[in-house]
Amino acid sequence: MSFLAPLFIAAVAAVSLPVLFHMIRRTPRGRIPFSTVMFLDPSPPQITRRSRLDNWPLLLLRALALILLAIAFARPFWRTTTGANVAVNDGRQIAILLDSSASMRRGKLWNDAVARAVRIIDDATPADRIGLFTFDRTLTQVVGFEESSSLEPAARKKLLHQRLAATKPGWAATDLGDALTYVAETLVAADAKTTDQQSEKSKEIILISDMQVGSRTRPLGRSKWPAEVKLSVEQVNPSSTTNAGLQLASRTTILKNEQDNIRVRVVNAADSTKEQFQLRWKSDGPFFSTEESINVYVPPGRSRIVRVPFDPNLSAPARLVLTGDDHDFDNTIAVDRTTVQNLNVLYVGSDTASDPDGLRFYIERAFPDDGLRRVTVIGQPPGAPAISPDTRNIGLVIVAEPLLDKQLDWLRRHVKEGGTLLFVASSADTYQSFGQLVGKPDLKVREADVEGYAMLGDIDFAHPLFASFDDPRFADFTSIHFWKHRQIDVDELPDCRILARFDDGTPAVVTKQMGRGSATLFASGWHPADSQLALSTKFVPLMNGLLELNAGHLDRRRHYTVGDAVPIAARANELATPSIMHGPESQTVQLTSGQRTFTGTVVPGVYRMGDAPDVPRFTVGLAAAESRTAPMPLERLESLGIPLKPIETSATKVAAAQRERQLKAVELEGRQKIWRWLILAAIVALMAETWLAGRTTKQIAIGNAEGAES
Amino acid sequence: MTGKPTSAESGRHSSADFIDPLTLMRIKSLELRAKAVVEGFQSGLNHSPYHGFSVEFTEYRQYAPGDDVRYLDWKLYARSDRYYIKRFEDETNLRCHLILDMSRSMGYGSVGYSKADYARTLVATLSYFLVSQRDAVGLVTFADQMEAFVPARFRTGHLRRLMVTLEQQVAGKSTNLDAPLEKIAERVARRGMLVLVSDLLSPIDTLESRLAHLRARGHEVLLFQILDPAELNFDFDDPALFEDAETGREIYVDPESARANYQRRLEEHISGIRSICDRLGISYRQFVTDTPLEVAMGDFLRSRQHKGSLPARTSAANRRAA
Repeated sequence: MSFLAPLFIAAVAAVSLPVLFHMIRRTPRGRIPFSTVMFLDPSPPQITRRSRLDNWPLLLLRALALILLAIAFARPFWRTTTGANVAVNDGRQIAILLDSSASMRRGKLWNDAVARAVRIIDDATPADRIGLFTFDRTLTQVVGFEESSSLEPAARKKLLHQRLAATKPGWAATDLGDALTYVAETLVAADAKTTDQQSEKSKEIILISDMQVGSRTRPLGRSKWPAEVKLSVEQVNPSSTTNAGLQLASRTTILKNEQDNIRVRVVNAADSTKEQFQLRWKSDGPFFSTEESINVYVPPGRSRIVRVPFDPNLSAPARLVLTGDDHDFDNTIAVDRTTVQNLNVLYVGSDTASDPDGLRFYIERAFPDDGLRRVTVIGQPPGAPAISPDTRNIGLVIVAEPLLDKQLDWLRRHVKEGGTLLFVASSADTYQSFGQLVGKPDLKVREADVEGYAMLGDIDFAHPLFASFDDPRFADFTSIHFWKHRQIDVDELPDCRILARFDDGTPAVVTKQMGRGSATLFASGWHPADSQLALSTKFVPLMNGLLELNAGHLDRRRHYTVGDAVPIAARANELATPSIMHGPESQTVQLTSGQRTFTGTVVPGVYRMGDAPDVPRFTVGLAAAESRTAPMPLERLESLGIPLKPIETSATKVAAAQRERQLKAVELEGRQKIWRWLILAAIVALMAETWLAGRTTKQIAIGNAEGAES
Repeated sequence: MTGKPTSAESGRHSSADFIDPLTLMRIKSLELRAKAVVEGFQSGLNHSPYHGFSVEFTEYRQYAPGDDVRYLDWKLYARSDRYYIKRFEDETNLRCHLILDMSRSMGYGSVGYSKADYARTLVATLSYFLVSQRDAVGLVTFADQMEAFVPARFRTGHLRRLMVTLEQQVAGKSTNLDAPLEKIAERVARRGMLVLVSDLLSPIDTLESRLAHLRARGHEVLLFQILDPAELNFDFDDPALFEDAETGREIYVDPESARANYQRRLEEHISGIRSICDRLGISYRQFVTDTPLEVAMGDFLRSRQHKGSLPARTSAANRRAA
């Protein structure tokens, strides 16, 4: 039998007290006036013959009533397992989500986080299913639920410990929103796969993170959080909170020359306790500049733009280092310098650059100079026996007139070696040269009969030429009207790829791979006589897209964030031989033939493709948000609809188990209501005691009367 | 002379002859109470073992043939035309002072009336008897000091005065024998009888000297100790706080455990008093308040006879008895 209020049982012991007092000391029944007490001595309390209990049954009845009352107040009940229609809880489904972003490199945060993960793993019961995930900019599954649940508890713990020990913090930003959303969906999906339909495992995500305010949480507000998934946050905090981050104030870290300045932003975290910092140049090696450092004052929670002159004693690439705070993970940016890229566009045609009715006029204006690349349009008069030998660094050849055979030969070689060729003509003759180039000299081309105007439709946005338009905002080409166009029979162009068609189904843009390069055909000109293309907003991106299809030219961006995919090639097969990407910390990655993007930007620093000294380089830095290290209020997660649950430690689990046990006890006692029967029994005992006491009193009175008469 | 019955013997014989003290105490008037005892004692005299006492209770008695005609009272014959034998007037008439303890300890009683009521009744009875014997009776009441002093007289109205004095409530508290006995020694010059009626439940350190002083002055002293049955037996059942009537002191006593010691100490006290009386030639009698007063009367008369306080009377009584 158990009791809801066991302290009342102590009242049972109190029953013995009156008996004890009765045995030890008999309370005087009154005061007796006597003539003199000179012959009397005070009597000490003692158990005498007269102190013994005279009426055992009466005492027992009274004691019984008191005992029954005491037990009734203690609310007794029998612990049974029947009648409890509660589903058996056989463990929890726990996803440990460990923050491995750059901000976790501060102090001992990572060690603390790993220790907490270890504790959570050790506190888990054998019925718990545990999954281990790390996240920064992307989510990584370290141990999945299926793998975890397929092992015995001991082996499971060992595996989790091993995989956990192998994890390390990275340099990427913190995408908390995507990580939480994905893990929550994984939890729900994992539970749906269970074969035990009767069990109801509770689903929990235990997030171990520094909860920096720079974490990306926007995705959390876009979808509804599954109600059955609870989130517990184990927030790790550094011993010192002062953190200032160094970021680029522009999109590039390129110095045009050694006299150039670089603009940087110094961000001081909101919970910092310092305000004075210093900036100093450092070579790509371990040596700091001999120039004096630049002092920067930034109040906590603020940022400041600083224009820093390059140290002329150093050579690019170099590093700019921030000092004065407590954490240096975000204190360095790599700075590189490169020359302006000069490219030529060869225009083969008779129209001049100043003729607005011609094609060249618009080409001259399609390639703006942005300081990193300078494009020069070189005219090749038609009829010239050969291409001018000055035409080097040709990024694009535009043919607007029929070609001579020698020109065709040169062009054919140029394209096969990786050049990009664009045929556009306002007449069908020009297309004959295209046919000759692609091996179809008898290409039949005729002028299309356009009623009013034609429009582009059926565009292949998968091709790099149109890939930049693959967005609902930019994919509408119907606003460009074509008054004239040439009609080409598709069957006449085997091995060609149609990139766009007119609305009558005839090809508008056709391309053919030739060797390492490609030859593209526009079936209509862009000048006003043919269309509105030159006047549309899509003309310049199209032309620059053609220019960037040239193999070996990197994107004009030179600075990326850790985790970015860096475009390194424009077309397939453009890398003749595999190249090697050299990264910071002696990192080398073998690039494969046909690889277009490089995704190995995991460490901040300078990357270069190839071994030659003048190969293109780019720099990778930390995301700006990662320097915002002040902790976010957890209410922010709740405001996004995520229910937070306090962390269950061994102590809290014990407390929770006790609470549950207590609730069950209250439920059982409420059903059994044994106290009613005890109260009833106590009333019966009191009634019997009253009857017996009355009877005893009468007997005494009768006895006294008889004694007085005698 | 037949054997003189003791108080105990008279107690055994008193159940049919003597008045129950409780019934007697219901008579409110002390004088009537005393009269009842005296007349009851007289009426039982012929049947009592007091035969042979030369006790005369009347002033005259009717002449019977054979009486000595020398004792005929001719004056009374002249008045009544009847022959009466005249009481012999003894110029040594008894002068008796009754000394009554009226302290608070005398107020205790467990038999329906207090020791004080019993003692008053006893003193009233003795007074009535002595007055009827034409003796001079005086009264002294005391508590912690002498409260009232009525000189011994024999005159009309004196008995009434004694009764009134007896019925007065005393304001005293404790028992102090020294002061009253000293004052009696000063104020009672002529030798006589002193009857001390008290419970004597007080220290007796100076009692012997005071009584010796009185004996030295030639007084005949009788000491009647009045005790309640509960004081003798201490027959209480339950532990209680016993309160001293005179000092107010309260002590917790368990009668079961204290009885033996109490009785021993009381017996020692009483033995001490007896020893004093024996040494000083004082007649000591102990009366328990449940004893009929006639027994006390008998003891008083016996004491008078034994002490020879009526030598003439004693010889005449002996001739008549013979």
